[in-house]
Amino acid sequence: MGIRFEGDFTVTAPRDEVYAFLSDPQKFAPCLPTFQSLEMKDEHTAEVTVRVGVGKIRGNATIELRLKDEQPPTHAAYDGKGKVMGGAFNMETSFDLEDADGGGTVVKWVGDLNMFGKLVALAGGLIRPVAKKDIQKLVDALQAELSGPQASGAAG
Amino acid sequence: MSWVGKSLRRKEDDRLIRGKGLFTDDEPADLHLYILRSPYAHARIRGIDTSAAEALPGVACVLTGQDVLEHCDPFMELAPGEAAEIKDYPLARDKVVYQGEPVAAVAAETAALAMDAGQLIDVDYEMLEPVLDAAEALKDEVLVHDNIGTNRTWQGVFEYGDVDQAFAEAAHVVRIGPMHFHRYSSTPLENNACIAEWTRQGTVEFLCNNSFPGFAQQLLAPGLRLPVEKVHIRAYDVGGSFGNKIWNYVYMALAALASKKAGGLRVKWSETRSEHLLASGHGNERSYYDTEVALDKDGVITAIKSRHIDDCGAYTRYEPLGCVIWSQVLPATYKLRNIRIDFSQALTNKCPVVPNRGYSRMQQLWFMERVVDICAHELGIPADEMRLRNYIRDFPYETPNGCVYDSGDYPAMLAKAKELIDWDKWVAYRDQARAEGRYVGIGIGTTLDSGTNNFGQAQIMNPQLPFSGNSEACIIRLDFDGNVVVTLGTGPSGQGHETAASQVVADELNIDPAMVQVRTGFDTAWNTYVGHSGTYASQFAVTGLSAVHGACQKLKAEMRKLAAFVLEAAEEDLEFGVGEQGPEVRVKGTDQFMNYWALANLVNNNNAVLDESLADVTLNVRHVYRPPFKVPDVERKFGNLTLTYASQLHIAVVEIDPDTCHAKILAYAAVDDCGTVINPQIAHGQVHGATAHGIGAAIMESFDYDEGGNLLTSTFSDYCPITSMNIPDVVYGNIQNPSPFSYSGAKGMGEGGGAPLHTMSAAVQDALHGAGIIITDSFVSPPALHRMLQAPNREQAVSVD
Amino acid sequence: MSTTELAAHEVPKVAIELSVNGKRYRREVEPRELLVQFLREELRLTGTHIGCDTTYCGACTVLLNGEPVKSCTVLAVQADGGEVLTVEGLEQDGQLHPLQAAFSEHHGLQCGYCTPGMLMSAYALLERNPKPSRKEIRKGIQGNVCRCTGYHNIFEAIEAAAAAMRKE
Repeated sequence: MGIRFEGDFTVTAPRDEVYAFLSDPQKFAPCLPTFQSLEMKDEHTAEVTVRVGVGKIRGNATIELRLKDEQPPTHAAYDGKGKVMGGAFNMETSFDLEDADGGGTVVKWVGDLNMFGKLVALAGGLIRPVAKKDIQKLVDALQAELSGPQASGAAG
Repeated sequence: MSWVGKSLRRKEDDRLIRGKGLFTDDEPADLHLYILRSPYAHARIRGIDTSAAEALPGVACVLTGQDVLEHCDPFMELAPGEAAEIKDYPLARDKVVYQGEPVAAVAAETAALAMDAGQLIDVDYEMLEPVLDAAEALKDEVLVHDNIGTNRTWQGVFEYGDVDQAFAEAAHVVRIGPMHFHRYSSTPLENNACIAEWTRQGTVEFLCNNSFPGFAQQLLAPGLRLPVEKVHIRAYDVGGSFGNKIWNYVYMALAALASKKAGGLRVKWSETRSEHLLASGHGNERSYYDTEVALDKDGVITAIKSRHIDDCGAYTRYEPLGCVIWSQVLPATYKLRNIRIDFSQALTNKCPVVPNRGYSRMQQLWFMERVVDICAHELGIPADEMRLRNYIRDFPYETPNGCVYDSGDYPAMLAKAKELIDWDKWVAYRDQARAEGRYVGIGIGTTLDSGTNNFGQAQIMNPQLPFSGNSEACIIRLDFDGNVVVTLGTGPSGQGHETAASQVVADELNIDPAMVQVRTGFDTAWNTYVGHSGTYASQFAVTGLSAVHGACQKLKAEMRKLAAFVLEAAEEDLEFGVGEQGPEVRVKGTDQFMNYWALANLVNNNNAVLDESLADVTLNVRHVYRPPFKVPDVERKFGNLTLTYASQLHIAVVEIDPDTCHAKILAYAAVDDCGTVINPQIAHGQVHGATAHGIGAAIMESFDYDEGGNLLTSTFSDYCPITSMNIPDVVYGNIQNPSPFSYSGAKGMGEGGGAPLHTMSAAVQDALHGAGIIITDSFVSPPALHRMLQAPNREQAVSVD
Repeated sequence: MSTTELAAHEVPKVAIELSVNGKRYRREVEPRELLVQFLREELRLTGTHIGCDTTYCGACTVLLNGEPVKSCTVLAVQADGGEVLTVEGLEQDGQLHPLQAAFSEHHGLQCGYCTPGMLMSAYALLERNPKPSRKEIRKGIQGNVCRCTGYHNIFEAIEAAAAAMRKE
């Protein structure tokens, strides 16, 4: 089962700074709403552990995240694969950066999630609403990180 | 006094209603097996790391594809040609080919611990593109099994009569677009389970719920590299099978290997429901293309040509037998003589199929019923009238492919069903509702339940196969204490064999059924079984009970001979009955008798008094019943493939809610004819049970895969087996046309022929035909009907010349 | 989040005490152990069956403090201090409960696998409604799946048992 998510948001930081942040898993992964830990496997590959689940049923999922395409300061792409009990998922995500009118940077992003196994039957219908909430949290966290305390209004 | 024909209360019930049955999972074991399964439909296995699992305290052993390569041979394949080279092992080796395929297994001290350990196994997969549609698979662009070079498991043309001539002379030709019979299964409430012990003697002892143990043993032994004699199979109570438990031998082998690796400890595997739905066998999915029907001016069908593709999933197992089994009912209940069906089967990256109640025949019967209803609607002939013009009427009837329909009266079943449902009232109701713009329809489904099949049909599929005929065995022993002990080979799963066999024995020996002890379950150690032993394909009423009946005759002959000697009477002056001291053989019209205990004691304990002429009397006789079959003509695909043909006719009235698209059943009637009825209550119960399966399958139950090969209905909460809230009130009726081919006139009738699928498709089409809809899929769930109402298909689905 | 989180199998066992079919038991169980596992594996009361893993089929239905529950969805620790009635507790001194007798009489079972759970749901239904209509019977056992009978004879059996119990 495949689901595509996409959107854009604006931050006050300049493009170079945003690019450096988003292309470094060690910086942006802690912004994931259920981030647990991170371990760099090599320069481009991180193993990120997040807490996943629905309601009270929760567990850790490990995602291997690899930076596969770097075009500073405008575009980067990751692919990732993860394993959870009885299932697996693959994801591809990329972002494109543009200068925003009046300063700051517009981040346009796309994520493709593909799920396999029991996960699809158990959580298939729930993934989109749950993911939507988590993505919003991630965007909020990134905006806070890249806009500074004074800038939250300016980003909007 | 006859016990056959009575609704004797079942002997099985006493233990089952007290919670004292013995199902496989009820028995404790030393170790529990957890199976790690593939989340992918198609992927290469690059590596498996089991070290963390093996290090967990309480884990006895972990198995991977490497172990099966070292200790197993691939299971026997039935297919000819390339498909014979499919390598089917209990675990995947270098590639997984369906979601849920076993990849590794852990045996540990508790089931929970085994599961914990299973989560620690790391499998490195490389995803591959799956192929999920059978027609697509036949293009061989994505191969399920790389080594065989094709996804085609079988192809053959079944052609009879003069099809081209019939089309040339036809008054009408109806062309029907692609149709599809969906994937579902009857999902017995008890999941698969087994306990295996690889003993120090080198035998493997199984307690299991396999429903075709005669076959399983012959598959397991070579697979485990053992002589057949060393594979011991025992089953006690089995919680339903409906054919689905025929191929759990794959898991039995895995449990046996775990026991071997764990030093001979008893290893239990209990499948979860989600595993069952995901990976323990689905019913055959079939698609029908290029269908053309020739009819005369009166709407009598004279010829059909069509191309059928069966989807067998990722392994063949019992297949490609399904490529031939359907031809037992080639023309369904209709008299057409000219038929050409090009039949193929394809492998796909989906769960392998397994025989499911109505196996392979109901897919053909559904097809024929669809043809009849579509033609009737298009030519403006009422569905009942259409059937009356086309039904076979003279019996025994030889079909174009040489099958012999033993007896039946389809018009009488139709009349009875119409009476039961109050046909005229519902026709008036429907017409009134239609005038108001409501979707009300009435559908008829006529079906056949062919029983006691001729395994020689396997040779039509593969002439090299060493199978033909059919058989079942029974041992009757007069025990030391005079009890009559009956041992069956059948291994039932809820069909009441203990009761029905008691009824037959009671009649033959002129005693009360309570005096007959029928052993529960199946055990190879009883030495009763034959290669065909099992409960499948509506075997029991004829094959099983004929074995019982024959054994009774042999036992009676011995008892007569013995009693005649002792009582110094002529054998013809003796009679069987119950006297003051219990069952006895007596000299008619005298007070001279020998009771059963005395007879048994003479043979077993007190035999110095016996004459040499009694040397062959043991009072422990085995009888094997063999139906009178011949090997079919494999070139012409011609021969009698089944001994008996029970029939059923169902009528449903449905109303489709335009908002919810639910086909609500307003009335439902089912009439069956299974010849002479052994136990009316049991036969009645089988009809209700099969009806529920069919209605559930028609409106609720489907194995739905997404485009990635993920099964979306892999829990009961998604699959939604029919409940007490969804089953309509079914009005039941029975007529009896005894079979001339069974000793009792009975016919096998356990499967029901999928009648509700035909009936629901017909009723829904009747309701929606005015809205431009032709039912071309057997699954008429609310989402399916919603899609149809959004996009009526009649223009594409049918044309008439 | 604690970094010393225990693996499920390392969590210490918990003592529970409960009554099953009128008999008191004290046992130590894993916190994750289900009531159905406790009944089947610890007490060897194997009449209560497992048919699914999503609380759909009801084969595991027992009464906990008089209420029907699916014992696959109750932890054993949740039954601590409680009273459980299973199918084995239905007969009294070898005498069948009217429901058991009626299920056999009306052929309300074939393979018998759903029967224990079905009996317990029917028992709970008749406790609160001694004269249920056919519709109420359907509702009363809607959480119990039977794959053999098509339900018809189960309805008949429950109706007959209700009538027999009203006469008693």
